[in-house]
Amino acid sequence: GFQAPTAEEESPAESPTERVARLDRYPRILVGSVGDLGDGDVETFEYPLEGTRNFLTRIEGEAWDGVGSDGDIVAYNGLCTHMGCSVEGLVDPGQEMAGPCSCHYTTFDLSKGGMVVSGAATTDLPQVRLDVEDGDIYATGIDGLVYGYRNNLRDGTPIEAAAEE
Amino acid sequence: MAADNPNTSEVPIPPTDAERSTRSCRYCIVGCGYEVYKWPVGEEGGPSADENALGIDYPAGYGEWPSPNMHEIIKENGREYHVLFKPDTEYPVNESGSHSVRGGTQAQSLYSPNNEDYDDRLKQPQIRIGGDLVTVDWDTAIEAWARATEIATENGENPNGYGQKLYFYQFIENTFAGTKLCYDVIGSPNWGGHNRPALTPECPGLVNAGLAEWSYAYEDAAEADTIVLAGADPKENQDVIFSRWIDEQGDADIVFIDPRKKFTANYAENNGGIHLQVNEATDPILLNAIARHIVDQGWHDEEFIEEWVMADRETIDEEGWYQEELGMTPEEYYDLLDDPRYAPENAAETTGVPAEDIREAAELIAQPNDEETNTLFMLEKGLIWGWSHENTGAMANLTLITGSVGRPGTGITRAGGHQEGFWTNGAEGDVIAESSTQTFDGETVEGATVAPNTVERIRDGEISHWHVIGNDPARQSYATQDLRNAMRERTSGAQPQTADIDEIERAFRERIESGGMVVTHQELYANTTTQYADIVLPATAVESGEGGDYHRWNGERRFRQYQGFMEGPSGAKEDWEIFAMMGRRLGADDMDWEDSREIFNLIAEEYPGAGGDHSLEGIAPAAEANDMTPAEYMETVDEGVQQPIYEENGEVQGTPRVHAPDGEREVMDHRFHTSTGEAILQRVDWDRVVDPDDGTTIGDVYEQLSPGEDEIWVTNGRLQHLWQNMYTHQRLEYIQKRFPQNILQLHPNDAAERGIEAGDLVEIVNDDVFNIHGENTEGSFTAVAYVVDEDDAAQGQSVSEGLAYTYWLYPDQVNNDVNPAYLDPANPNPGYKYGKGRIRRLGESEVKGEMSFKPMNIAPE
Repeated sequence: GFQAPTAEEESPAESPTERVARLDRYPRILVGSVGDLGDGDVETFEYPLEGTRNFLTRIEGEAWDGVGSDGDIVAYNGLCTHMGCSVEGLVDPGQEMAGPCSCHYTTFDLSKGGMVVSGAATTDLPQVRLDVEDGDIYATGIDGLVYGYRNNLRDGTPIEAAAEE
Repeated sequence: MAADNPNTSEVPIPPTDAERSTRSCRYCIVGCGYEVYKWPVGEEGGPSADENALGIDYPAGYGEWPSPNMHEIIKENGREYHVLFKPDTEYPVNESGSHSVRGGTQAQSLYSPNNEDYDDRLKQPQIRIGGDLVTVDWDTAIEAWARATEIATENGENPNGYGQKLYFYQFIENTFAGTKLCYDVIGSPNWGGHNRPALTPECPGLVNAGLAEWSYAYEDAAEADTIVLAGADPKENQDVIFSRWIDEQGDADIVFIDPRKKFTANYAENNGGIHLQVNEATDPILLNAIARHIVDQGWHDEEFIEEWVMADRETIDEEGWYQEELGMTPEEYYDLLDDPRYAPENAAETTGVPAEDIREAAELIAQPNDEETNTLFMLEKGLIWGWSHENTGAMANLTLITGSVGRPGTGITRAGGHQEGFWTNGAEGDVIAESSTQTFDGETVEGATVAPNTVERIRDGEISHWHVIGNDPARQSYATQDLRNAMRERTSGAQPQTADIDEIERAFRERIESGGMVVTHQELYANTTTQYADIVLPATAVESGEGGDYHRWNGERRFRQYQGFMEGPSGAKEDWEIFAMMGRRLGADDMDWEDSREIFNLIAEEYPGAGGDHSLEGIAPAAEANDMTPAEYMETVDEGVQQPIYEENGEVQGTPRVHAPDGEREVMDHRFHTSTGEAILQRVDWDRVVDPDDGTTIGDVYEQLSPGEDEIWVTNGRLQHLWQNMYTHQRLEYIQKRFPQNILQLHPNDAAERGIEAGDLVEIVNDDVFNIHGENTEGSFTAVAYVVDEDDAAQGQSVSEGLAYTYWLYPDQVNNDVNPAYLDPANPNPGYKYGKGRIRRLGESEVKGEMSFKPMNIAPE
């Protein structure tokens, strides 16, 4: 397969268009608080570019790369990787699943890194890396390419908080 | 823990000058169009539409995105190229841009020496010497093949000594050359397809009714009022038929007939349709019960039956031995349905489908309140690989009594499989008639010659040189554990000790004369059959664009050209070229083709298949009118053309659907493919005698196949992620991650009774594998238990108690090992679906922590 240089190793090339951002690396952004996130809650946030919408939730059991004392807090990108429809409103924390996507019915396992349970998507749902510090939840990166992008750090505007960080 | 997957971190953009070609997907029968972009590594396009070959602005919008798995880097002549596969939204099949997991990952299935997952690609001819496969040159390999054939056939005196197991699924150029070698050059009747042991129709009950297996146009799925899906699931196997034609464009109520409550069962029930959760192997009773209710209510189309269904017994008898044995007049058919067995209340007890559901399905199918019945009947392996005559005949009967065929929104069709290119020069009929020693004896007919069951002839020693091309019979046949035992025993004798051709001949002769067998395997990748092979010949993957240009057709008979765009391993050859080398060595003087196009031109000009559903008749005249060769002409037919193909005003014209009523253009001699043009109802009878020697009926066989104490049914089929024998999918990281081993879906009660949890490795043992030919045998395989807790089964358990489900062709965990040797004697197709076994826990599987065991049947509510 194709192994791209990581953002740390090489900055994206100079962009030919104005709208393209040049994030060198994933920023660390505050996206929620452990105390405010109850069972069954689903919150959304943008990261790392404006318009890249993700959801944060607390699922029933422990998750791969889950944070919080029970390892049950996870965040994923909100676009189905099949054709780009949103699954934000279709998250079922009790079932630990997202979907079926309203376009072609792909379902994703939120306890197993966004693995496709069934459906025609060709990659897992990208999982947002999280870190907890003093009860605050920070996004620190994304595993997997977000629908529509060639690189999660290119072709968009970094969210404001990135500059403050 | 989830690993950061490098395959998903970035995907490059093709520059505006990237090389672009179009083709169909390499996989399923739907035959979606794809655009292929190829450009040198080191170059890249920009993120705005005018800077890239895709013409899109990044980030890409709905359906525009090339995902990382649509991309691969290949290597040719020392240079690396990016290759990107994207759905072709200008192709009539998949204009919506949707794709399956197969199509969407096919770039990752290209052979690349850069990718260690492909290291086992066969690259040079090999011969087994002293126990090991040793690289040899092509001349030695072909000469060894020829000598093995000469010994096996006693220099042509006994053509039955050679057997060929070739694909149906490949392109017409290759199947033409392969069947020519078997039937024409060698003269052997021992030919089997990749999925069945003889040259038999896959749907005998349809074909012998005068119906075509592929008769509809995809748009009929969008226009139908009701769609019957029996043993067929387009959601998993024909994604774009489901997503575009049934779900997006269509509004039909679905009658979903399947032992499992899977996604499409729930989708049907949530959208005005019904799921008939039929007990395993009882479909003929259910389908007859539906037909009986239709007739009892007077919902059948008497006008259509009067005009289009054969009513004269004598004419039916004269149609052929199959119709004489298994055809019926309408009156005989109504009498048969009158058997109390098929009354809805009685059928409910056998089939497990409530009588009111049988009546509701009959009403959805017959549509008594509408002027015309617009029902589309779709069937596939769940019926085909069972009671092959009864199941397919019952669907033909429902189609005919409702008169729902040949108009938009109606029809009967298969609903699965692969694109096909099967084509012969017509020699097979004479060879089977002259040389087949296999006959059929029924209740009426005696001594009818049928195509031989080649798999049985491996077991019984009749075939001494088995030439297997592009498939894996050691796990793709029935009762495969027993077959492998026979293969091991018959290949275990003398073996060459050097690559000297006379030494090779000596060893082969010694082995064959002692009752043994030589196996030649012509393939892309080594598989289970290769373990028994003496001669291994590396082929190129024309379906992935290696080599020349080829042709085949899809599920609405859309015929198109596929152009080669990359090279395979330099030591591999295209299958037609290998067949031609063999044929010439045995004396054929008409196999000196230059390239695949030359074979296509020959077919289009000499063997276009006059009168058939898949006729190519219009191509050569249209090519001539345009001063082109047929292959050059097909290069210009961008959207393909639906068979039968005819010529009008110097261009090819297609036929959207077969069996159109009179008054429309007649593409065949008759509307239905019989001597009079009337279709023939099929006898679907649980009491039919299948063994006249001891009077065994279908019902008796059912009793023998049924699980005994401590056993459950173990049926099989596909999973959306996995394709066929997984020769590519076992190499795709993304797909392997989802199913790193075979699975066995179990009801939680069956699991708990045996102390089994999700993720446990279990063994399935059938110590009584039914064999219609003789002694029952044993078989077993292993799989990971896929059990969904009751709390998580939001839309029900997909398997009921007493039934387990597994993927049927997983490498090294081979479900066919437990599947019965039941083959309808009139049409020897195997009943692969009717396995059973005891299930026991071996221990916790190594992959328990890596897999998802969430329910796969969650449909939108």
